[in-house]
Amino acid sequence: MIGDFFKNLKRDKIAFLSFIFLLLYIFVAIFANFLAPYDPYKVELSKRLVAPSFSHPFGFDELGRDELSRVIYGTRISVSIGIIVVLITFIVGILIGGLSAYVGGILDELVMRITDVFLAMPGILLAIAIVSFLGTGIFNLIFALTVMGWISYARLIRGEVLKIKNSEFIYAAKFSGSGHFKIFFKHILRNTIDPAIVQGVLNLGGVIISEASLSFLGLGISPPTPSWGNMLSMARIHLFDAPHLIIFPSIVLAILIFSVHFFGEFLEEMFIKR
Amino acid sequence: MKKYFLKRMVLSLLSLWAIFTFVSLLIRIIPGDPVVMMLGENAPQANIEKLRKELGLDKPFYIQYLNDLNGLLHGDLKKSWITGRDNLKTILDRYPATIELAIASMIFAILISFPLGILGGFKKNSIWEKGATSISVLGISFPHFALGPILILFFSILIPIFPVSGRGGISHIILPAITLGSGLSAYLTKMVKKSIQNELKKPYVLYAYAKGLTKFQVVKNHVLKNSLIPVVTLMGLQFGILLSGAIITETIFSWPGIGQLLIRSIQSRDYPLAQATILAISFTYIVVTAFVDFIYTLLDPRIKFYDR
Repeated sequence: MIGDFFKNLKRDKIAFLSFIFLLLYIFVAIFANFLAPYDPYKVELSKRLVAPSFSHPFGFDELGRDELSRVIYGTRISVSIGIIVVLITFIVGILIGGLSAYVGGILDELVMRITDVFLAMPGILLAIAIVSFLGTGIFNLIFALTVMGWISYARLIRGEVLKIKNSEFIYAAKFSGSGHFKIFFKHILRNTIDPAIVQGVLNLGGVIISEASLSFLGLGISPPTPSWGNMLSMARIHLFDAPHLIIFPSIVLAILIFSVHFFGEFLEEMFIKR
Repeated sequence: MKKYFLKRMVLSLLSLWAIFTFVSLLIRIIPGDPVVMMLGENAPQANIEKLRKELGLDKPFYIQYLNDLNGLLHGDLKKSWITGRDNLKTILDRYPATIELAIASMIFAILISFPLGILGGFKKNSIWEKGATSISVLGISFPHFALGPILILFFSILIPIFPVSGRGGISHIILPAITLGSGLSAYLTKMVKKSIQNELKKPYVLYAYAKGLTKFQVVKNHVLKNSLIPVVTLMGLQFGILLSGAIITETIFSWPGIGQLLIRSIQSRDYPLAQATILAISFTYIVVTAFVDFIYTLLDPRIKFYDR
């Protein structure tokens, strides 16, 4: 399995590159405090908006803080929120969708109608609505992104479970005395979870964009904590005098989204379409 | 067919009702006293009580909810507590700007994605296919809030062709439309390409060639029509994504639509106006989605029930 993965990965240049980049971003997120060359919170007003140089390759921001260090700490925020939200929504979605399909009947109907309602709100509007009334802050942000995120997994796994729920091997397990718990977790989930895992990788990009969008609108991570979204929001005001503040964070963000997307597509090709 | 339409209509109405309930609940999830949050800690008690009464927050939730529902059915979305203006009027004033932007973005996305997708779909491994892939990559990688400022930087500041912000003539709408339409054009290019490649594999194409038609005729008379029907539906369903993208794009370009209205009302803690705007955006989305479903069912009766 793992051997296959690397063999296929070597053949697909873009996916290989994306995989390397993903590992790099995770590495940067974990070791941000060792990798950042300067203190991302240290204000030096005399260096306000100073352009990039050798010792400060991304330049200085609107308060004279080192932009590279802030981008590195921003990577930690974005990547960790992305992974946390994907993990929570994945588990919640799998359990709700899987169980509702397994139990069936009224429960299934009810869950499907609830997901219909959530899908009736476009994109990040639901998250914007929740955060703007509940207040900003990292926990509310994660909550808002979770509320809107679990549905895609629930729908996906439901379809898969319905497909195999009445297969012979499930009956066999039932007749040989397995309980519902064992059947659901051991037999059903193990055989239906692959597409949801791929979906999780693909969703990581969307979650990171949503987090940055909310922070950009002033509804997510608030300054001084650096996040790509709130950095770009401040940079917008200084477009005329400090274009480097837009360029560098955008490119760092774009490379991550690019990598998640193409690595996700590679996984999709490998595990689902075969 | 009739049964399908009826079922779809009931589902849409249910969604509308559920969204309304959710939006009504929002004001109750504000931590602390919403009225004090709006007016500030130092506001005189008399003003606080007056606003509380105006918003119906002095009554239990179910009474406020029923009053609001009654108001909605009579076209009353309450007043802004800051300007005192009728919320429905404010929203209707701003609506055309958002629709204009959404349509311009659609047009941009179609102009980019159809030629690239179609040529890329027919000629595998050609420069067209590479172009189609590159557009998809760019559109996917740069979200609105990164692309918008970059476009302003290059095309308003470094090379001053387009205005930085605001609404006006054609030149004003180009950058916002590109920003909002980029994601959609990436998505559509990919879909058009895939759809054409799938269609080309079908037996009727082989038959058309066998009949002696030229490649151009096969494409023009047969493949194009069949492969574009699913794409048109996808386009309609993407409208909602445009609406939520408009919230950010309008903020970047100071475009006076309902997206910018939403963000401003949130920033000034004008909760009634924010609620009304969220309702308006969701309602538009639900109505458009239902409409697209209807059209699609009429075009292609094989689709019984669209299940997302």
